[in-house]
Amino acid sequence: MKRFHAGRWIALCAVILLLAGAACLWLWNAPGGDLVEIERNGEMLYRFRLSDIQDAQTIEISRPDGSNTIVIENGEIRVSAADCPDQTCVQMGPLRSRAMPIVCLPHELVIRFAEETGDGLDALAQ
Amino acid sequence: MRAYRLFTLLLALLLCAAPGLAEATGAERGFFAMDTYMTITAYGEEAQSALEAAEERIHALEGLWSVTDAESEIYALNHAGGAAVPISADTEAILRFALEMAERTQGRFDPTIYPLLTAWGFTTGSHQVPAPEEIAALLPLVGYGQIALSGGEASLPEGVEVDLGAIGKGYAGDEAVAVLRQYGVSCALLNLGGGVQVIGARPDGNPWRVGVLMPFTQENFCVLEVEDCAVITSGDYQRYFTAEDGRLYGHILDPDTGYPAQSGLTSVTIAGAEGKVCDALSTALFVMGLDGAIEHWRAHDDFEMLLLTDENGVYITEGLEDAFSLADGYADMEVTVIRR
Repeated sequence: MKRFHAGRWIALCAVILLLAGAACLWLWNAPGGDLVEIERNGEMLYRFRLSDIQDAQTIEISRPDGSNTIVIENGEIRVSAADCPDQTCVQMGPLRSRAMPIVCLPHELVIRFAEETGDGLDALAQ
Repeated sequence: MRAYRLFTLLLALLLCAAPGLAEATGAERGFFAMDTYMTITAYGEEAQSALEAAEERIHALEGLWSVTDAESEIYALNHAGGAAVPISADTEAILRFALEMAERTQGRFDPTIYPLLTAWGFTTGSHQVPAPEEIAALLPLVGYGQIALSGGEASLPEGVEVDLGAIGKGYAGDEAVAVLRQYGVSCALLNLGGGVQVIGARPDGNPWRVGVLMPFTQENFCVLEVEDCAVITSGDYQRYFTAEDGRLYGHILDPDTGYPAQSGLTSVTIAGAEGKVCDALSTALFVMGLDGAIEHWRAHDDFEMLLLTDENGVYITEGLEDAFSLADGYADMEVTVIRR
């Protein structure tokens, strides 16, 4: 009987280890770092993974105080056009890092990564 | 029995790890204030309430100090036609601090530069190179010694205007840090429009990794690994225009000349315990240039600095030596360590 109990414990431990290993593998391979959020005037408009967008897409965000055209293609997102006076959002180019969101100050538009990105930066002093 | 012990050990390990995982859950808040986009990430049991209170504090200070909001105390002061106006304790405190920093930097940081900034169009977006006569006429309006403060009131001679833009975000950051600490937050990251302040270390125990922007790019040229401090950068690349003469004019003006400072530096990053000191010094040391900045650092012990020259030379003070590393792609930059 004692021997049987020991075997059961061994089996249980093996199952737990297998499950833990599977969880680690899943976490390791889970898509990460490309979850994008788009906010306008503090309102979350879009939240999606860049890797889920297969074909090029254009998003027009038009409000009475101005508009921005956002392009998603080749796994990247950027503002391609805007009617803001400073054009900073257009000049920023594609979104690269969680530490550096694309911001259009006049229109209060923010495009940012919601998860840590591969560069390992927490913030950018600029 | 050996297997039983193994199982117990595994279970114990899982139980030990669980509180750690729970602690790592934080809250994040992004909002527009002080003419920029700010994000605060905080970790702790009351993180959400702490973030709301910190944001509220920043908006309240913005309401007092905005130079364009007709309801603000600074606006009232600037438009009082020389009369004394009542000011709150917060406004009096920041004005006193501004005077202290102007004194400390021999006016290289000057909170009364606003009329000149307006003449150059940096406050309106209508950039222009003012005529030399216009600059000469405005220079007498610049001078921190003209700010009078006494017993809850402030006054300025007519035409003189105060602008707290060069210290407001750093000061507000210190206030937000104080609010977060009141809520028991011992781990937070504040990014106030490119001025970074951190409380403690990252939730995983490692230092926060703060990149410093390579001017005119979208990349960082180095990383500073820091805990419990502010990291604030100023440079003429932040706001500039190219005039008809083909020259680039940056927004950091030399209060002595009324023209954009051309000191040979392209960015100045200050690291220190107080955001307000770092903010003021990043502007002042940009105006001073390399030699003046080194002299100022040797005379004070409340900050470290990272200077980038217009020939891409990097200068760091010895206190940053261990925290500093060049980013991928910038490994061949020449780094000089400044010692006391």
